[in-house]
Amino acid sequence: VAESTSESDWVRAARGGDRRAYSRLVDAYWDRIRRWLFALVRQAQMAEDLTQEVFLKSWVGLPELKEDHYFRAWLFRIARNLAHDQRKRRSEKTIATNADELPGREAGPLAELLSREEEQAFQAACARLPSTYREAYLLWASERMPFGEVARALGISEVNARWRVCMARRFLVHELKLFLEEKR
Amino acid sequence: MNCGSIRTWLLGAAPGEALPDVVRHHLDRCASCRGRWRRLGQLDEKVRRLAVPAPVQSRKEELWQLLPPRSAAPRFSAPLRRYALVACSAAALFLAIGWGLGRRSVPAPPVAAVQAVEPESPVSGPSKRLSAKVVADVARADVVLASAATAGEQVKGLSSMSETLRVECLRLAREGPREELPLVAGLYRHVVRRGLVGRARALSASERRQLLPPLIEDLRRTATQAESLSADALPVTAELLKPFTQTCREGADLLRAPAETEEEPLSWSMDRGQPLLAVFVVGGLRLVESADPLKRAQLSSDLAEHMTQAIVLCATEDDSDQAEELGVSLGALLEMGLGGNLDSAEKSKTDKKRAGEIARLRQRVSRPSGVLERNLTSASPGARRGLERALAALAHGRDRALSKGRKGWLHGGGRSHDDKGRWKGPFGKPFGPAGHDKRGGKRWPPP
Repeated sequence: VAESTSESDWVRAARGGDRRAYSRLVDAYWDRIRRWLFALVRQAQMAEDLTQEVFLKSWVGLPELKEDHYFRAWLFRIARNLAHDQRKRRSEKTIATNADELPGREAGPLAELLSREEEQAFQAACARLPSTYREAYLLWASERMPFGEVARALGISEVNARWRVCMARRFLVHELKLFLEEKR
Repeated sequence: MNCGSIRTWLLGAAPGEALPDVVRHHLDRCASCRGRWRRLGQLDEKVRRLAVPAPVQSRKEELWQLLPPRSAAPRFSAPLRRYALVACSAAALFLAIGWGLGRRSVPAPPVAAVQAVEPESPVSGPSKRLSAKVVADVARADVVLASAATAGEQVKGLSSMSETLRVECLRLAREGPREELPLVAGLYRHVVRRGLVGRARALSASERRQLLPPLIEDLRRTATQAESLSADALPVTAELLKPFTQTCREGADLLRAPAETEEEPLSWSMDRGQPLLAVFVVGGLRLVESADPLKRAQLSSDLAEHMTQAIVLCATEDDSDQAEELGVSLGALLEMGLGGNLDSAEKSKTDKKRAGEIARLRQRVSRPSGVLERNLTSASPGARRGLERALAALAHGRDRALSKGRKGWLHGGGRSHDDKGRWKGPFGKPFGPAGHDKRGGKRWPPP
């Protein structure tokens, strides 16, 4: 099963206790979950810890997952719940002002294309985005989830998911208009 | 469709998505909207490629040492499992017989029927305490209604509000607390009878053809669901559900064949001391019933005051997510409901009294943030988080409301007034037509 390319097969096998199949799921989702959690909590170390916890919890909870094709939404839902619990424990202010954690100074895939200023502006605008909108927008834009799946992952209605994504895009286009103007 | 509507539509469209003809034709001839569409695509692409700190590989490797064996979950060996199954079945049968004998006339709600109404999520949600969420959803519908300029837009806003109340009614009937059912069912009745049926009369023939059939279908389906729930529920719950079912049936009939009906007086008001949910529903209904922009601005200002109160309540209950959500709605209400309607009122004829009222209401724009800041000084650490998030979330809308000639993020810099100088708002047109989200999303707005 671990050699199969179908996610549903891996989920089914992992539910039965197959660690190799589960490792395929971990490989497929680790970076995506970490990236999303980083956008939510804005601390690299914490994002890393939470990612590990997500996969621990999902391993334990997998037998409870009834429908294999909801695995992605289910996994992000666990991540979201953990991030929320974490945020409740910590002061929001500390998270928002911990500028050292912002990855602007590290060479990322965008670094060659964008100036540091641009990169930092995008990071800062995403950080200013209300977190409920940020989490929905990043699932839609980065994970390319349809609105229905975003709704499932966040435990909200599809209408609400669409509203949040639209509001986030509106906010970001306005905030980043200097960097989004067409270069002629 | 004009530029404002197209831009609103584009906000919900994914880059590279096939656009409907009407949007494509507009983009072909409008360089400004074309630029906007490209910028949205650039935004998504750049956000997708934002740098994240390098991963700590050891974390991933550690995972394999930390994973508990599956036996950590309560599991039985095969013979024990068979024994447990037999024992559980016998116990279930015993309980079922006992329950049936004891309460023959009151069967328990069938699980299958309940799940058919609202499917359970694969993971249990943060909690079942949805009242704050329901209030926040209705408050958001108020923002749409505060900026709706036509009957069609009002019907869309009202259908969103009725959908929230409908789902909550069915949830209360299934899970309780059932003593809240009369309030929510009563509010639902007002939204259907006074709101949807009332505004449907003002729709054009083409709008009626487009908007009403899904609404009628939805009301009928809900009535059937409620009847099925009633048949299997306790008699008290069935009794509480009766008015709700009746509202659905009557609403569907009146929308299908409009008839003159006596307007029912509102059972709640916007006064202090009323339930917040009722205040937001009544406020929304008054907004759609009022054509005078000054009156709409006054209503928006009153609603903003109640939203401030709701934010403080959410924050003190440590629900900073809902506080933030309400903060965004409050910012939008200040910008589009209060600021937008005041702009429209200024453009129409104003006497001295109206001019004074406009000036007074303008001063109220910054009042909600003042109230929240005052609460912040004496709030507990948990409540502070919610208040700070709400303040940050409402700042944009408030700032745009304070500055005239707004072209802020909430309306995308598009033309935001119609020919009569009335405020159009961000949801003047649907985000996308039926089947628009090619990744599997459904239509906006929902039926």
